[in-house]
Amino acid sequence: MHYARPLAKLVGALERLPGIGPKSAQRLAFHLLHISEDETRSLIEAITEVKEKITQCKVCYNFAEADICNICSSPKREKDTICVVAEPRDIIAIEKTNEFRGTYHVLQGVISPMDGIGPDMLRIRELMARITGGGIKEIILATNPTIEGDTTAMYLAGILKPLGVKVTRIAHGMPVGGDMDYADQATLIRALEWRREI
Amino acid sequence: MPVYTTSAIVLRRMNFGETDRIVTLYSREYGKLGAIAKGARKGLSRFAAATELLAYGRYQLATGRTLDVLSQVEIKESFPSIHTNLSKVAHATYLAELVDKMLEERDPNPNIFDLLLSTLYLMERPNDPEKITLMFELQFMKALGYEPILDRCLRCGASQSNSTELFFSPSLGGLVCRVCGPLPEDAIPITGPAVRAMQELISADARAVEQMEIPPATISQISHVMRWYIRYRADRDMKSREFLDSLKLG
Ligand SMILES: [Zn+2]
Ligand SMILES: [Zn+2]
Repeated sequence: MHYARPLAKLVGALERLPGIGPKSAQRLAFHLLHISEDETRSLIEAITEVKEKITQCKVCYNFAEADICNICSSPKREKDTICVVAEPRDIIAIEKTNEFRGTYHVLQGVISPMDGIGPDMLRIRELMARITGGGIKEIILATNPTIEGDTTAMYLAGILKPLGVKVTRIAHGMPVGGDMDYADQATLIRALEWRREI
Repeated sequence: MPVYTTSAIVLRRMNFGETDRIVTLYSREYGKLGAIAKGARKGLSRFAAATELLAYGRYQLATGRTLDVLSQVEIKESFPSIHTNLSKVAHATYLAELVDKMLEERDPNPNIFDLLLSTLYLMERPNDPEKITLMFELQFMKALGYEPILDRCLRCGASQSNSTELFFSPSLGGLVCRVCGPLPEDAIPITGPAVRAMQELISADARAVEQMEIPPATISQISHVMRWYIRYRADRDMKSREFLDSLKLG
């Protein structure tokens, strides 16, 4: 299909966004073509503001509005417990539970050997520095139960344990509302291994 | 849409859209193929575990316009011991990349499928993953028609079984001697025990491999030779090799 040049440029830019295919890009572009000038301006402003004001927390590498994020700077958070996650969106998921009182560390990815992503491309050195800085009691490894998430957790456990800190991994097992019959063997094995007394 | 069922192992996967996954399956009946698993990233999805790297099962697919669509799946094995051992998972990931990079789509080879599956089962058991990987590399190259020459010089044909000075040339694909001419530039010195272990590994069945004891120094020699041989044949390095190396150093 032939678009007018500016429209083609927009479709092309949208197509590069994650999860957006050519069809969705086209649909979004046509939508944007029809929105009011006010809506256009506020969208542009929102994008500009995010780019200008959001930086990385110098402690945990979460998104932040200042040098130190709200979680790291809060006196209510327990600084001796660090929950290690792959991405900032994982923090949002955990925060929604209102259960965790410690702090976080964002690796900014997981070890993915097939994609050439090794440990040195993640924020692991920075995590080690936080631990050797002292005052840390427990590291909770909260990467996904995928091959890459498991690889990352096992790798981290290997290098963190010698530092004399307690290292735990979040439990994985039967999903809430799940059906035993549907669960695969790996899930069931983990669910059994990490069972607890009730 | 025509529907078909095949035994397959997941070689690669990537997230697609909000909740879908695109997987590369290596199937026994149809070879390597791409498929989309809708909703595979939702926690309760039946497809979540079935689209995990190295999962083995029976996959039912509906022929699609560009990608086939996963419609049903029955997991046969998800190799939990591999998943919970760093060295094993790193080696198994490398095997998946090797098969993915070296094979064309829709070019079935049941022998290679069976080799990959039995290799994963061997790794799932308490075996040295490095030894199992060398067995796979040798037998995989053989199945692709690149069996290395290990009993004689491939230039002059002189038997090398009693030779004290042995060299392996990745580009020529086997042993070369320095009697019949200057050594090729890529010649790698190799010991007699390493050559004999390679000969054994290339024809050993699962049980024999489990019983083989190869000293670590010999393992690392063979590993070095195979790395250059595969790099020459594949015309590139496997990306997951780098992580394997970093584990050995650390
Ligand atoms: Zn922070
Ligand atoms: Zn010769």
